[in-house]
Amino acid sequence: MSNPSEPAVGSDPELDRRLGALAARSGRAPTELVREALVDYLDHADAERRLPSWIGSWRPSAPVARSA
Amino acid sequence: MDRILATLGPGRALGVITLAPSAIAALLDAGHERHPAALEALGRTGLLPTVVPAATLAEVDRLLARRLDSAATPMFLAGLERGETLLDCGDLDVPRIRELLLRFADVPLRLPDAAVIACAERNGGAVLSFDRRALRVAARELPIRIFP
Repeated sequence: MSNPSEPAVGSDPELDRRLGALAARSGRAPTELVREALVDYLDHADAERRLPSWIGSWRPSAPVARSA
Repeated sequence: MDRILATLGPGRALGVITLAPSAIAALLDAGHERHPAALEALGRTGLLPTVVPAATLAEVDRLLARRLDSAATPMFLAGLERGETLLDCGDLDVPRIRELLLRFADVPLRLPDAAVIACAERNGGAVLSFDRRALRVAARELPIRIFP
């Protein structure tokens, strides 16, 4: 039985099939793959809400070096 | 990873703001006389992420090279690569851009302006620009809002 305090995530047969296939190919657990995808999604969502680092990166004297 | 706005789906992009080339120049250059105003406007709108129509990149490069030097454009492009600013390919906007160019030919409206308008129309209507003459004329008749 699932913990009611945890969010429930729905799936469907096609998603299950693709996830299962990826898990089989990679030798990793489906739950691990889902967690990794969620972290990646949240990282990108956070990045979209931050002011881009290129803003103000050019200074009057010289450009500010930034790694790509 | 491609960070192409068109792939995000309907409704996903309503909180974004479209950057015109003049806004990119003001935002990138901390010494630009309009840098504080650009930052303030961006903060005031609360709209992020920023979006740039692909059709304006050549104009962005022209502005940055004229005002700064050839190292400026790569700094901006690195932000696109990192997904901090989204590139809107706008490949389906060509009919709309053509329509805008014809409709506002007497302004005149140029291709980068038309690309900014077409992009903004699909993405909530907000535009950050300091080259506003043509955009203001268009904004009287179109659902776009120009900041600051």
